[in-house]
Amino acid sequence: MGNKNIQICIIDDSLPFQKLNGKIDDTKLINAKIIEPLIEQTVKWPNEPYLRDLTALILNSKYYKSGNIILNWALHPSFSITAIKQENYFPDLVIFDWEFLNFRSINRNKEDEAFKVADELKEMLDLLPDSFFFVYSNVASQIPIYLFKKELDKYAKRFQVLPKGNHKLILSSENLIYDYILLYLDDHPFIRIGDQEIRFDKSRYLENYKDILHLEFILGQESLKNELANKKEISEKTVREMLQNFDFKLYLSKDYHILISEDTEFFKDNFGPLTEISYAEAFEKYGLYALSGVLNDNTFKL
Amino acid sequence: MENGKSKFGDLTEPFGRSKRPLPPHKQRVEDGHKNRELFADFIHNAKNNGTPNHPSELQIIDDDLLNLIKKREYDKSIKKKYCYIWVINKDEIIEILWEGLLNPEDTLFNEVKHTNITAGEKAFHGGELFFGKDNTIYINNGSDRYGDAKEFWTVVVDHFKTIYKKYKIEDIQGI
Repeated sequence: MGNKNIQICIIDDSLPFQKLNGKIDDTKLINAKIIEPLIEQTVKWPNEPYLRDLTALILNSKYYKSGNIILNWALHPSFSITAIKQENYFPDLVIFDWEFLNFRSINRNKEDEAFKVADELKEMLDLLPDSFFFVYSNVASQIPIYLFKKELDKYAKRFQVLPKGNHKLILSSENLIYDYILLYLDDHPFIRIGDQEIRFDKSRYLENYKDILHLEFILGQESLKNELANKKEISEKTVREMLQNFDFKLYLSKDYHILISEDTEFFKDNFGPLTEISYAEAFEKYGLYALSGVLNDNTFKL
Repeated sequence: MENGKSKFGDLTEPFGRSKRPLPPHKQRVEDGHKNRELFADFIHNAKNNGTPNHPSELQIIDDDLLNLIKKREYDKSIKKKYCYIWVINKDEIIEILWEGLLNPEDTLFNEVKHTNITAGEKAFHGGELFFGKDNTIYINNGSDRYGDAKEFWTVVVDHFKTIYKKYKIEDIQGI
């Protein structure tokens, strides 16, 4: 375990803090120590099982127990903004809900409310230029897109929208956030993918929590599941082995320094001559993002 | 459409025109790439001429960037600001969506795709479109999902010319 620490702030009004028998000031940051009793099996989180799961994952981890994870909770964005401004509180990671039903003004309609939340998110992104944000919400698919474009586009690389409890990808939203935290703290953590614990070896081409999703995109979900069940490890060596089992090919235009997904007449005419290259070779030479990039866009400038 | 036959040829399923075995990423359309409802307000129906009203300012590409795109020497995030994706849907209507939109349901790339316009349904054709200076519209058939219908490409270009009479349509097939 490394010496690195991570400060995490969860901003969500669904914490069942009423079960703490009035021990807290609910307008201030709530330290994780106080909420530890809430992750006991007997405590129910009405309508928020996934938020409970995420909180339990974090608080039960060895990194929390060793003090490498410092977690605070705010019931509304304004409380964390006050802490940032008045207490020099600078979390490295913010897990930000989108709906604050317990704080909704009766005078605001749904759209005004969305603008207000977007403004608060934007203010936090400005106040915390080095922090990463997960917008983690039950209504992720209903967040008005124009708020992203007009207000949040310039921050696009610093936040990720995730629906609570999403299990369509190889790993749930909760696992994805948890793996982000582990990879922030450790170069060789055991990350969670479904029910499995997989060792992740960081290297020049593997470094990011989204790398698992790039692998899923390239290999397909079932194929990656099978590979991980056998190998129990994500490293350059095991990824190369996974890709070596693949029959599909890519093409390299040496003259134009471009990786190409198919040797169509157009690409031969305009970027030829093309040299065949396997997925494994492409990964070895150019990395994971080049490989998923060429599959997503048909070409990738090297 | 006459006697069930379209001048645009046959409808195709997403990725249906590929002549090779499909790699895993093309074997199914992700849910986040089939959600039309999320983008419905931003999809422009070109039946009645006019240009998309989202983003509010039409994104006009300059010649230098267009040349870089032709040579595949572009920064993707910059290209997306100027690129509009289009389909000719099953009702033979051109629908257009700005590629610069962020898709929160695509966890990996945050991108909109042609299937966000069609809800994952069949379509005749798809491609990319750029608005240039001097009322020029550049179009190509660049769509993994609905592209690659060479024999009908001239018909498609002519259709764009019919719809966009006030514009000069430039065929940049292949970029």
